[in-house]
Amino acid sequence: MKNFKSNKFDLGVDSFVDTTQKVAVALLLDISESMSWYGGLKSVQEGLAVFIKSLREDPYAAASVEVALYVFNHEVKQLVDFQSVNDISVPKLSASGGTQIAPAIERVLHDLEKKSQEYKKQKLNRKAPWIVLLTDCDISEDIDSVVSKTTSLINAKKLTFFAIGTGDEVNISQLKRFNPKSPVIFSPTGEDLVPLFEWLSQSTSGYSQSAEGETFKTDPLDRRYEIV
Amino acid sequence: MATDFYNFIHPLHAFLSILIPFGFLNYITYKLAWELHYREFTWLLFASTLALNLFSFFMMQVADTVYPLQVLFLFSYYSTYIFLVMLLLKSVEKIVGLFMDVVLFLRDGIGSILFGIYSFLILKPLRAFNLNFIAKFFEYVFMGLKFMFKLLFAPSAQSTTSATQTTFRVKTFKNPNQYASIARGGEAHIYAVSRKSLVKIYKANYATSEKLETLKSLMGSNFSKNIVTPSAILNDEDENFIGYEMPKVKGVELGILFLPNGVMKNFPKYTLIDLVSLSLKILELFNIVHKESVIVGDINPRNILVESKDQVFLIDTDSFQINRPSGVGQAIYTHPKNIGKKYSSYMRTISDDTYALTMIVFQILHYGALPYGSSDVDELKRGVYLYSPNSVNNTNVHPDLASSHHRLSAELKNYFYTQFDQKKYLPLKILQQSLESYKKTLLKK
Repeated sequence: MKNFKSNKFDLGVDSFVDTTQKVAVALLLDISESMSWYGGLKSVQEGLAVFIKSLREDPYAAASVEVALYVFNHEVKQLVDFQSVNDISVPKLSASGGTQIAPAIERVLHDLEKKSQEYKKQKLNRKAPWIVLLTDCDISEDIDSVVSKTTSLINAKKLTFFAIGTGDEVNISQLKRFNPKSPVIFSPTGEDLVPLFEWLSQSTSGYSQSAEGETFKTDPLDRRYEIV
Repeated sequence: MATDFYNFIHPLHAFLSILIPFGFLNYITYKLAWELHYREFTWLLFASTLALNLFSFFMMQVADTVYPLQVLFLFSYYSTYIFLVMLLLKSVEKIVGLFMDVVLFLRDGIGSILFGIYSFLILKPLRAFNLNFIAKFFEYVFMGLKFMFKLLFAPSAQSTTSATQTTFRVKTFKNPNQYASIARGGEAHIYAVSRKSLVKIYKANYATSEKLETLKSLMGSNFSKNIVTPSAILNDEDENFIGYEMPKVKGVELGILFLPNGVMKNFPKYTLIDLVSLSLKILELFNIVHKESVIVGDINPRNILVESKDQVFLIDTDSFQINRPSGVGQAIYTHPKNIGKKYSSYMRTISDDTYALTMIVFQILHYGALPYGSSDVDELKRGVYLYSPNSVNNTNVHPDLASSHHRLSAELKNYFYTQFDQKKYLPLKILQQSLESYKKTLLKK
């Protein structure tokens, strides 16, 4: 049977076709000055490592999920472009500056759209992408235009949006406007975010392996976080 | 001379004839006691029976009359002693379910028939002893036959209903966290407790009495070693049901083979023909379950372990549909007519399993790709088949996928087309035949 190898079509198992469904996950993390005041950023850094590590440990999720890392203060920066969790090394985060949330989300939405077109071109199956936003700011700027964008995408089931608020200054009701359909996860101390990131990776795994629109099971979120 | 013999044997057989009905009674009592977990009581009964047996044997020795039938009769009693030895060797718990049945069946079933015949043919004088032996004889034969019938012909598949008649191995399990966790799911964690066994520990809300019943039915079943069923029920220290133990089997999840280059990474030498063989092997595996009129329900590529194309295992059997809905499933492997329904709200039929298996075989032959454009639940329900011979959808298909579809036999392509495009669901048998004839053609090349 060895001579089958000469014919690619007869063999059919040596060629590389990716038939997994792709999930783009954009992590958008606040690195404004205030994040460093109470050890919040250190906790985010640890959580991030755990998030990547546990996704790596799930071979199915590792094949499906592509993660990009964005940080923002008064400006937004892409630290890691969309790539497989197997290839990501977590960069060191440092805090400085103020906060401007609207342009940061605009940027991520733009990049996600680009990524989606790319998947389409490669004839890859794709599921609605995720944005995970983590911030401690009180959002005093005008966010109306970006809110209308996220909500319309969410309503069209083209986006999943997770908002995480930390610290005592965060404005939960403003944060909730980005995704009125889902609760905001609130960590009052802003410390010890590791279990939260672990839970997030579990949700990401579950989501990446389920059909679009299908519910999947996750562990309940740790009690130390509030759901508002 | 003959008169002497009868006179001599008389009291002994009178004694034994009392023992026999006791044998039946004992059997039932053992079973009952064991089922109700009165273990000490069961052993006590055993000990007392042993004492009686030894006594009767002693009587035989004293009487100095060992006839062939008596030997045979006693021999069936000896099996009780073997049981005792096993007990002493501490391995008895492991084999008790089987052994109880075999030993007691031999002893009480065959023993009573033999003794019935024996007393009818030889112990004529006993009829004068006012014991009404003819009536007894038929009674024994009837009871013996009933036992044999029950043990031999009660099909294990109907363990779904006869669960309570089987003996289960129950263990106490402490501190699961001391073991290596090898998988965590929404419902349970799986730990490796030894080289040969795994345990599945349910999360609090999932260790239900319904689950326990399903596990017991599975333990009473006898599918094949390739269908991994529980080997013991696990209780915590307070005797609350928490999970089960199962044998550990080798292999990669079939789903891993559907990941990019999955076959290449795990079975680098495999060619198309091996994938066809693998598909056939998987169908064979499910045939075993279906033959016992059990529906699997939650069929998905993570529940099938592939050691090689000739050795596959079905795991997570605790989600089999036994007497009640399986409760779990995945949209991709759900019959379109049932997508959107709660898995706990309906009983699946063979057509649900057929749909899922056809999907799996399709994926095996297409690098894990689905027959539809996306895995959106609405899309799965509507199901626009991408490989339809007269469709324009083909432009959406990766060229490598198109060619891997193209090379399949017309028969196979037609089967997939009928199911995924025409929504007519053919029996699995036809898929199996198509794969077999395709395999033959490939072999000839």
